[in-house]
Amino acid sequence: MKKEPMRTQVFMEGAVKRFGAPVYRLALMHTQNRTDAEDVFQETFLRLYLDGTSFAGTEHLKAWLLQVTVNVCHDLHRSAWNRRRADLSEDVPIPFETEEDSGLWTAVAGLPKKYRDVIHLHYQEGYSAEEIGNILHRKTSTVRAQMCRARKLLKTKMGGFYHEEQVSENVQSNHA
Amino acid sequence: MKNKYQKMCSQIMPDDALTEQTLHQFTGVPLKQHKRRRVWKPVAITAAALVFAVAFPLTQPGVGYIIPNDNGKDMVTTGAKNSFGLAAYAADGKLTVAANGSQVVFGGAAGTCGFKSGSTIEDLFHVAGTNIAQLDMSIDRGELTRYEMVTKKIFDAQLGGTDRFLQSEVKTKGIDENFTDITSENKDSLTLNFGEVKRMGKHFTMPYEQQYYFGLFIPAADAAKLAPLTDKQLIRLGYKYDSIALFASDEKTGVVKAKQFFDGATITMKVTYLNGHTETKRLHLKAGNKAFRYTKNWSKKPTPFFTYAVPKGQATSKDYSDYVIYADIA
Repeated sequence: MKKEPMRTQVFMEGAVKRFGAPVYRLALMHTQNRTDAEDVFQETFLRLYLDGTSFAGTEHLKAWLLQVTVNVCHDLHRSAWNRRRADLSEDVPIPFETEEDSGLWTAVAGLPKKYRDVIHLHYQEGYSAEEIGNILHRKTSTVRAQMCRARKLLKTKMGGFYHEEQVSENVQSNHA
Repeated sequence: MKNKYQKMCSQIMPDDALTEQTLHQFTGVPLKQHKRRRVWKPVAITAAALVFAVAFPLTQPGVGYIIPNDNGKDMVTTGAKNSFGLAAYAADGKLTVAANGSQVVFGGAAGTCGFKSGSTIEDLFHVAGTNIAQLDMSIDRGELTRYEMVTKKIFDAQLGGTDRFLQSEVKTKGIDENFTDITSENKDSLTLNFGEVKRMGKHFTMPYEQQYYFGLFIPAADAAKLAPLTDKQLIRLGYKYDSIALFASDEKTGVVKAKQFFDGATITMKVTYLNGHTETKRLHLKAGNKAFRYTKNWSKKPTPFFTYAVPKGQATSKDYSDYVIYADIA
């Protein structure tokens, strides 16, 4: 079935400007490759352009975008192009301000993909386990278990640099 | 940990180029061009059309005349002689009114790009004259569009389709980009003016009205031949051609396929005057690069010459905006 553009240019400009950074960060965290992250970024907003979903608010739109970002990342990894390609050069490292930031990035990047998404959505976007479950199509209990394992792995990787605040899995965030 | 993670992530931002490139997908032509031509050119075309309609008859002996009205002030009438012509851009970017045997460049900004049915070309022309009752127009390649400025409520305009003027209008009205200032109380009172494009097909006849401008349209079938789509995902989504490739400017030649498509096309315009007489003119379209010269501060200044007749000391411009459609008026 053919799809027509469902959004105005102004809506798209607003969406890209406001949610471009969260989408790009999640894409980069998932793919660990800037070129792939840029592809995911573009594809995500293209899908928004062609999608007719009515959004209840900005948080709904953000959650939708992050969900689509993860889906696009999965599609990218499954694509024949991705399976058959070989990187000619290594991705340029991100110039973080401090070594600690760089170390944290490396540590999280070293986690399995399924843990990276969970960690990112919780720490960066502030989603609860239930909300993360909705975005990633996983059970809440699965998300909690993955969060727990991810933290353990991070502790192992980062050693003394890992300091967890008092985080409760059931903390209700502002996201409806 | 959460704070550290957020601090780290705050350093990761998408490039401006990526954002611009992404938004480009939703416009079909480079954003830079839109911003530059958004408001002034349609306004300037309107002004030129009015000047032509009023002033041109006065320059012709026995055509226009001035009679005093009851208040002792001069009143300009329409010409006593039937006439029609075009108002369009000269190659130097200044508005001009074309006379027979001259050459004009279409200019302006028009409408939206439909990714399913085809794309509009942003070059416009305007038919101006006196005593015109009916306009009949046809093109032997692609299709024609009709363009007019309309006023709509902002919300209706958003729902109605993409609009180049919307953002600047919204900002002018003091509304922030996220529309948080729009409430159910004020949304009905917020209106804006913007261009609306109607696809007219290869041939149409309509009562003459001065506010209309006309443009060119590439149907999807022709666009698919010029810029075939290779991305299977986009094909699945209903796209029929590569809109970015269609409007991309060739780095070496400056050629834009969408405009090159109309090189050699002919537009036939037939007007019926109020007294029933008819007159026909033909526009033989061409597409080509403008020339340019460097100014004292080394910025490029387009000049009124085309590729085939670039004077010494000037060069052919390869800029997107300098590849234009123009016409010899016979």
